Amino acid sequence: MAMMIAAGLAMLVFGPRPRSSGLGARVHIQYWDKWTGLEADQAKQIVDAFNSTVGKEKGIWVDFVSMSQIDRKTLISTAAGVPPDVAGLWDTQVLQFASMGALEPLDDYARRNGLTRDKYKRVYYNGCQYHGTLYAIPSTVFSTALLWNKEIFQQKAAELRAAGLDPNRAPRTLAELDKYAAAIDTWVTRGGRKRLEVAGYIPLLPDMGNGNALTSYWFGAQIANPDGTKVLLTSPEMFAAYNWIRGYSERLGEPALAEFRSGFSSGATGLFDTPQNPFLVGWIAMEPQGAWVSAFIEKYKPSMDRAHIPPDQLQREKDFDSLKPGMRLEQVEQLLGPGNSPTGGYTVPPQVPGGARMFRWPAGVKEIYVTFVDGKVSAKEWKWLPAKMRQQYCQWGAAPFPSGVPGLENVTSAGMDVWVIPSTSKHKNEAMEFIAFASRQDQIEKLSSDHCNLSPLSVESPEYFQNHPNPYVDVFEALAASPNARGLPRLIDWPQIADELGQVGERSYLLEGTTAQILSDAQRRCQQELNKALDLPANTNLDLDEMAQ
Amino acid sequence: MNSEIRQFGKGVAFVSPWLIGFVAFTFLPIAVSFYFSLCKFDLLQPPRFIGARNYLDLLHDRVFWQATRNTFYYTAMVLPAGLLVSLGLAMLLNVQVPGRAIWRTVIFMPSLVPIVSSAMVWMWLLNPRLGLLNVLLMKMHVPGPPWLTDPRWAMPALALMSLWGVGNAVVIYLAGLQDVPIELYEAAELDGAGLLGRAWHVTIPLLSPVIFFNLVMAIIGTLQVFEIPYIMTNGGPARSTYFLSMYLYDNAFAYLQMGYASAMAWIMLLIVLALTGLAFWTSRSWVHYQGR
Repeated sequence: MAMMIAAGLAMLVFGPRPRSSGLGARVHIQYWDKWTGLEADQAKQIVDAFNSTVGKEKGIWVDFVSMSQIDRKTLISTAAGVPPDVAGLWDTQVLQFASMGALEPLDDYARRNGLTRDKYKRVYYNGCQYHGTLYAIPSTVFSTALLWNKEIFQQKAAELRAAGLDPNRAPRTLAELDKYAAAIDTWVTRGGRKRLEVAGYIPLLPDMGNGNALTSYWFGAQIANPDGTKVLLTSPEMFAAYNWIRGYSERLGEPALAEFRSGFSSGATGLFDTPQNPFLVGWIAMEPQGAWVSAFIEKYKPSMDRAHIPPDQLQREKDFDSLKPGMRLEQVEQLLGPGNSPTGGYTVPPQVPGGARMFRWPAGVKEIYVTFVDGKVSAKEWKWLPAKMRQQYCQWGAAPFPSGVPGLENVTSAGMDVWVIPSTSKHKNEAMEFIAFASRQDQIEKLSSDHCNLSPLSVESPEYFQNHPNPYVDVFEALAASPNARGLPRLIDWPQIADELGQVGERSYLLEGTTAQILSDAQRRCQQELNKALDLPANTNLDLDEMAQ
Repeated sequence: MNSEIRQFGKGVAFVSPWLIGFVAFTFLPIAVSFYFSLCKFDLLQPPRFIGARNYLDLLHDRVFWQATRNTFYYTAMVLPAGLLVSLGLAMLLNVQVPGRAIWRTVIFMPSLVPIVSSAMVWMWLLNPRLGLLNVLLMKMHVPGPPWLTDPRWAMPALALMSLWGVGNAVVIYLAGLQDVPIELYEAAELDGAGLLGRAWHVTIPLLSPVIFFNLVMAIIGTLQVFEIPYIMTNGGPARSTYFLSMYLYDNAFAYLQMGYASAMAWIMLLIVLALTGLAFWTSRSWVHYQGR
């Protein structure tokens, strides 16, 4: 017994402790982020860069921890008083956590570090505020555009022309999108049943998350009033949005659509990040997506980015891996074609110092650079062709998602990842030093490109457009900067409201009741929940708007 | 007397690591969750006492009732099906047939597969476009349904999938079957009982304590079902597979309404207690313990 007590006391005195305070002259801070795998490695590069430069100079060391369910873990650790000093959350949590006092107000810190409103695109900076106070800093961000499969459009060119549509461009209005979709829909009879084989378009893809709840943005709807005290689900705009969704179920038939959708749903997660992504497989000709889709195209179906590249350049890209250090110029030319010729590679001026010569070969969406020292390969690398130039080779295109309201253009739902400082963090100044470093143009643009997302900054560098993996980054960036780019509604219980809107979508698809009934049900429930969250009397704002009445 | 107290003290000291652990990590959280169920609590702000408000709100919460209905519906399907299938398999595996050990292993193996993995496999099996099940049905000219996206089929699909993991129950039944005295089968055979007669009059009564154990465990398990629907359907379509445990989880960790979630947890506990109590009450008439 005495031994057990002694062992317990020894553990208490000498046992492990969280390493959160200064060790020597250096202050250790904890940075938790949701990114895992390659994305975590890329974030770690920023941490390493900070630790070896600004951190070294100012005596700050960042410990990076990648984890799942970061929102819950951040909240619980904040409540327990042992939070990370920097946490990488989603925009969904900003209002929810700020309203609970879980986040540190950042206005003063941000001002001192030059992270001012003018530096950011409007929609992202606004999304980081709650009641006029800044609680988060945008990290990588996104906007949503319409992706269209040019190849399917060409395969269906006759049908599209017969419907009076141009197969060489994306639809520009919602009415046009519906017509394109109907002309592209392909049915087959299998097992005695007529099945939808290829859909031109279907609303509410199973894996669009918040994007599905925000479909009404393209109809000009407001989901809540500006101060976030009233839910507005029964407006004519909301009615138009969900009636449009319902229209697809009515046109294609609810069972056929249910079967088609379930072919590429994967329970909670969806298949957008897998080789079964319906747009990549060719089951859907158009879909709303973020810039990240390029990462999955490059990983699972790179041919979509290389549909129109001359075969010799395509081969050259493949041969890049065969280049080995020590190979002679003749051997390299045998693989990649002649150097120093208008059709092949050519020397890149100025010469690399030290007698080395660098040659460049065009390879479709990439350019291959090979450095020779003493006539032998000493280094090789590839760089993207500028994004805009890559578009000519793509089998797909990106365009603003058409709006359902005449004159309402470049509408997009804009979302983001954010960095926050939990309110019980012990090293807030040091945490902000790191966030400011990570928000520097070179760092944030590199991270955004690596993650195949967008930059939150109001001005992008030319290098960013050159090196971004998405050929249509200009389309997505223009949408993000548009005055009609809209973030999440200003509701502190948005996760719950988003779930309810998900139900509205599901019920519309299943043709359960009328659109007005479905929206009225959701309005009542959402307002009741919001009243509860805001501590308002239970019957506040329970009157319905004109549509339902 | 002194020595008895000393002995008692030693006993307490030896069980104290468990006792401290139980009090700190089980009893106190349970007690505190009851207090939270009477509060508005979001983790960050101190809990604010609101009396029975959370329980009253639950009474008027249609999603709560829908989740309760779904949970009972699932239990009503899985409980008898699971008991019958596992008992039937155990009785078949108890028969002397060539390769019996292999059959037993095959039946037990799915229980060793992590739930997430088997859910992913089943999602592919049930995929209406590419899934094995619908491809086979199509070959027989039977149109397969969209299993997981049709509200009418999603729950039966989950129930079907739950039978995949009956291996544990089968092993317990098999162990119980080894305890059935062979003389009783011989006596029944002499009395003219056939295969079914021996199963009904000998096997089932003597196995009834094991059946009862599995029933109680199944009641608790099915009422708390979470992982499979969370992974396979996320509660959809249109909340047709949304269970009490999922609503509780969402309220606690997505909507951050810890008080409301705690109230729900206590109601779930009462439901489990009531059904388990019912099972115990009825057991007097159908569970037969050997030697009593």
